[in-house]
Amino acid sequence: MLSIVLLWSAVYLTGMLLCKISGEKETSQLWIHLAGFFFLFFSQGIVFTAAQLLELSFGQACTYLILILTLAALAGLFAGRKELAALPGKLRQLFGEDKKKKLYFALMCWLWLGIFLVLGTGMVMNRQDALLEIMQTTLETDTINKIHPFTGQPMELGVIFSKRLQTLPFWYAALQTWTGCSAQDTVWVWGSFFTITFSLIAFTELASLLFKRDFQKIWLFVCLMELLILSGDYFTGAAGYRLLFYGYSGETIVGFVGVPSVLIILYRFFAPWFHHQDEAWQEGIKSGFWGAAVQLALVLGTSLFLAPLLWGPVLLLITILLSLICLGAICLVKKFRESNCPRG
Amino acid sequence: MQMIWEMMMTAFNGVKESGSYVLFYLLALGLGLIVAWDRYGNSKSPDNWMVEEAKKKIQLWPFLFGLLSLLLIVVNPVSIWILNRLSPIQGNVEKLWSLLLMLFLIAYGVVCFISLLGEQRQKNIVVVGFALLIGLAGSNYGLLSERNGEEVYESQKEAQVALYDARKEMAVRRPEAIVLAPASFLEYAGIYYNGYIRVLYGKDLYTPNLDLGIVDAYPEEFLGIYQMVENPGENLELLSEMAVLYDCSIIMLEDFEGKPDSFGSYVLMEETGDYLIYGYQ
Repeated sequence: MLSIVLLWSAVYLTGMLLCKISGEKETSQLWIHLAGFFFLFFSQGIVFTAAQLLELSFGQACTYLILILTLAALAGLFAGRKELAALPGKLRQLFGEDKKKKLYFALMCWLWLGIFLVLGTGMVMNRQDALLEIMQTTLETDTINKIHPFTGQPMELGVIFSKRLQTLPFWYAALQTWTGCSAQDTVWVWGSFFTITFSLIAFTELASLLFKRDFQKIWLFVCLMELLILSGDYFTGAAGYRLLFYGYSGETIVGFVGVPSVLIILYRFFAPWFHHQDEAWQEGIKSGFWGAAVQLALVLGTSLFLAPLLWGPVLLLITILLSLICLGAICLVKKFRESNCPRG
Repeated sequence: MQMIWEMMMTAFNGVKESGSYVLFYLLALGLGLIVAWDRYGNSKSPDNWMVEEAKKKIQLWPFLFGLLSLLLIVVNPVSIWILNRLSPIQGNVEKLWSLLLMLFLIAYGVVCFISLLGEQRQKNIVVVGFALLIGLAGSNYGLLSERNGEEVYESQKEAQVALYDARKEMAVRRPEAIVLAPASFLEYAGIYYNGYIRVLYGKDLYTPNLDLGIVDAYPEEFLGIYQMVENPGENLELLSEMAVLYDCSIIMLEDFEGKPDSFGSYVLMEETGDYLIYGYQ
């Protein structure tokens, strides 16, 4: 439990560092988490791919990854010290003094726990196991993609690179190594826990825009979302019991965190236009473009590493180039914005 | 055209089976259309200004997004045809449904509907009513679904025990027993017995984006075998021949009408509620 909390803290702090670097003043919890996970998946993709090419053992790759994450977290702790100090006050504002608001907030937390207990720890038999098989093979052999996870036969490196390379199972295996949880617990309990929590954070963010920060409505909305998940199962593409299966290929994150995130970006961008505020619309373009560019880059980057889009080193190279282009575009926009809209 | 229709229906059935929420989704879209009609199409003077104010606060774009995604992408034959050309593996069409953000729109619709009600008492009743409806319509514990999550769990567990028993029985004659199992049970067959039950192919054979670069390792005939296992009413003799060729001692099939007691070299060993287990004789 402690190691899970530490890992989450590391992701959060890393996200804070990235948001600081991107220069946004008002950064939401969603973007901090997304940025942290973007960094994590970006670095795990690079570390595991390099480890495979250099024929390092799985354990060695895990050590390098945790080292990178620790350094990033320490930098994040330093960069975001003021925001961290203000966090308890912000959290208190979420439920405030209103009794009804408090009631919905408590109900939301209770349902969230229910989802975790019922879907995460209960119906494990209804889950698909591809991720688990690959994890177990990786851990048993202490190698990366050397043994066919479904048949146990040795694989040639050329076969792997001729098709695609997905590193997410290795990331889960690394989680198991660090936390000491069993493979089943890592995949079924913690995997579903993080996925559901992050998707709820994303939808809460979207709801807070739609309901203009009316927290009574927002918490009611989240309660209903949770009830739908709890009683109707958690479906991405609507097919049942596929949280893990889709979680494996990253579609859960892309579908349930990526899509609402893109909607949030689009809403922020177009909201003044929806409300017929021409001046605000023009101002929105100026001020929103920078944030939107960073956020889109984050979502795109996360999607590229989570979704099954990564076809071997060629696409890895394209991903890196794309990220660099995004970064260049962001710097240009920032420069343009600063020269045209001087602060103060 | 027929193929596209079949793919659309398969996707719809997949959605329907995982909960009765499609109806709620359509109701939410209906609410959006009513509000839009009231706001832009009906110039009648308001009867209740509080309700009118609440209607003005409702944002219509999520409903518009849901409606356009549904009509232009999810149930659009052209998009399905394109997807089928790009990646002709069944299951991809189902993924289009994730665009709809179904749960989100249902919850948003309910909150908007509640905001339209005048009295607090009415609001409370509707919240409780909707919570009950969601529970009753869901697939995990709902009364309306044919089989809930617990029943699926029990059924898979029963089939797993039956397969283990059959494997144990076959082990006397064939120590290296390989199992052919349908997709709905494939993963449960292999993993819990730590290599004791081996399967001929993994789900990476037929699942898009799961190949990990290792799909090349399977011979092409395996796709044919997979098709035969998934459609057990047809070509049982051919399935038997192929299974013998690849040294499979157990064939597990989903229950079907007109199931034989034996076919080719295989005889019925175990029968659970959902599955039939045939062993090499």
